[in-house]
Amino acid sequence: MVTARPLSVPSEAPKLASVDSVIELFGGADYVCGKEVATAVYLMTQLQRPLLIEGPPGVGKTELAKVLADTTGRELIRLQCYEGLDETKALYEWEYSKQLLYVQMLKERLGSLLAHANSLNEAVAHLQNQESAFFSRHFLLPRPLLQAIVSPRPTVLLIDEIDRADQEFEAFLLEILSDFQVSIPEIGTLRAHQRPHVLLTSNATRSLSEALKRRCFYLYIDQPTFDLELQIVQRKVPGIDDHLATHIVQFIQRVRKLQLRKTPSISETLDWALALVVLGANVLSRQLIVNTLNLLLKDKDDIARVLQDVKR
Amino acid sequence: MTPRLLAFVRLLREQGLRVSVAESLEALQSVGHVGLDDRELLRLSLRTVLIKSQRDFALFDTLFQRFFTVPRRRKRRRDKHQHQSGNEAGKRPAPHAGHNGGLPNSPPSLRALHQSTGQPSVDPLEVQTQARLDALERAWQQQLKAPLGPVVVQTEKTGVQALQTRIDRPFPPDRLEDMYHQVERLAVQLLTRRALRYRRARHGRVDLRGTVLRGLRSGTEIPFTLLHRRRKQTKLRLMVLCDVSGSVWQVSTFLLKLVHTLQAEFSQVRSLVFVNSIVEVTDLFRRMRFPQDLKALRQYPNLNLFGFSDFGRAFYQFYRDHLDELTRETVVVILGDARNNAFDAQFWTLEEIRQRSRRILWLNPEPRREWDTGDSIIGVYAPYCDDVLECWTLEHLEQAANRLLQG
Repeated sequence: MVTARPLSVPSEAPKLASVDSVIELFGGADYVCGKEVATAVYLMTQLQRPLLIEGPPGVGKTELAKVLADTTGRELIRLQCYEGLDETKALYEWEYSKQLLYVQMLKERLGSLLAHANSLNEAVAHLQNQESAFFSRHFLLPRPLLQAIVSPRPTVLLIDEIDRADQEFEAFLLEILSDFQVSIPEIGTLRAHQRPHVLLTSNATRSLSEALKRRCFYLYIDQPTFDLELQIVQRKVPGIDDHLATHIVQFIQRVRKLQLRKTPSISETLDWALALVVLGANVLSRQLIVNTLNLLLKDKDDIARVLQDVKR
Repeated sequence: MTPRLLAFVRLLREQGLRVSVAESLEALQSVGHVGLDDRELLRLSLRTVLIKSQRDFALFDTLFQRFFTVPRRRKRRRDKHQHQSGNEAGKRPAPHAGHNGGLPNSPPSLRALHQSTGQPSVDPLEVQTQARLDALERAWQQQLKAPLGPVVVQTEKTGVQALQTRIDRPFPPDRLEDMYHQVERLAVQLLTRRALRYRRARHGRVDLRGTVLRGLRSGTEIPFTLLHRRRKQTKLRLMVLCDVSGSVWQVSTFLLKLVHTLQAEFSQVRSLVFVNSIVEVTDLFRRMRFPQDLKALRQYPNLNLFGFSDFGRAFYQFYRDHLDELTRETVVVILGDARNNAFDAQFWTLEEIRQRSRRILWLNPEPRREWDTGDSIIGVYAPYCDDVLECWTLEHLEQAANRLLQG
């Protein structure tokens, strides 16, 4: 049970000074968000806690991290999770081949260094003194987690689709998230200059461990409401006719109510709307829907289902 | 504010939501940041900090509504009182104001309250704020004294108690969903334990050949990295055969939920269900959308849920259609009460199945004392199974899963 230990005062504090200013700031970056999202972002930046974001695919979980990085002028570091992800891929690795290359290149130098050693033991002792040269930051290959810790610039760390990683990895992540420091036996402890803003996303394909959840704030982003979605479409699809936008969103909202295998998400709405604009449509006719539905739905049965509904 | 908030946290805990001490501290801090003026904001903030699953949102919102609602009538009267007594309001020490001192970064309204305790204030805004705070305080106090009324959702049992819950009796719908979560939690616990064991057992002996070869490949004779022989871990295949007739429907769904949550631990999980003839439902459960998929299961074509259980026929069909798919790595799990409605037992098919598979595990959702009573013929099938286990509590389910994971 550790209370917040701010490592330094976040520089964007005046920018994200209140929930409303988050909405405003994100709106400026074309990310339309409701109060729920803004509250969560505001609290996570103020209290410096990781934020766990759940929700159906395509509602803008990853996008949120990008926008947060953009608007606060932080660097975005992304760790995509997958089954079998381990410390060497997430934290750091020794760059073995580079070490080897250096040994080869420095062979002569090493030779002269060890020339006056009388015995093998002495030579080894000599070499041991030089060991730190080969296990230094030069040969350390930082992976996303370490990058986020050692980066001189403030960062946003996005741990994407944490539910895909193994449970083991989750436990390992807990250590990092609580302290933001890493002990590398050969080098020592590396500590973050500035605590990164950490966002974790999950598609809820499995439930995450209680321990991880306890350490994070939690945000659930659902499919957007009509008003919100309309705003997003208008903002993200330049030059779209208001009338068409309304029709598109109405249609999508209705499609979401059908029992589909994969309900279209906001990103698919945007793709579709963009396509319709490119096609020069200004009314959403039945024929147009039939022709372009495959942009919106990616499942044969779903398309059939919706077509049936459209015909009615 | 502190005691109010802690009382709220206590309420959440009483209702079965898990809130740790650290989380309640964070809740306090967050209130310090967002203030109390905007109720909606307060709700969203507390929810962000305290609730870690979308499933619990509804319950939280209900409780919040209940706990933080200021009765209207009362508020108005206090307002009037405040206006009448004018700047006297500031002189009276506000109840619990001292607790606010513990809050870091007190929001303006709280700070105002703080300062106003000593000196009379005539700022109408301040008076108003104070009035509102007072009203909130009083309302909360009322809420605390008043009994909470009927419990919204049944309290979740914990630990051992939960494990001993009987799962062979039908649950009311709201409780049922909770049980699915418990089954899932159980599965996750099993997975975690297993992962730990795996990690310890992952490295075997040093692989000398590999180590030298790797050294040569990188152009030096010095082997830099030690390679270990990996222990070969063969994953089992599971073939789950569930009776889904009315009497055992619920336990079957729990078992299906469990094995499909664990499916990553097996090289393959196939689920077949039957009442009097078998239907494969693997695809349905692979995506694991419980309990929505159960509805789909009820309407599954060719599945007559209202028929009479016929184990003999189901086993025969299995023998006829699926025998080729069994391997030495396949564990066959049968779930059923073996109440065969006096149909032909066809026990010889089980013998065949056993010959072709690694093991047969039979789970019976009836307590042992009811076995072989009435039309139960578990005794006829039992000799052909490697294990016959009772399965009518979560604990039994866990034991069964453990047995499966051990191979």
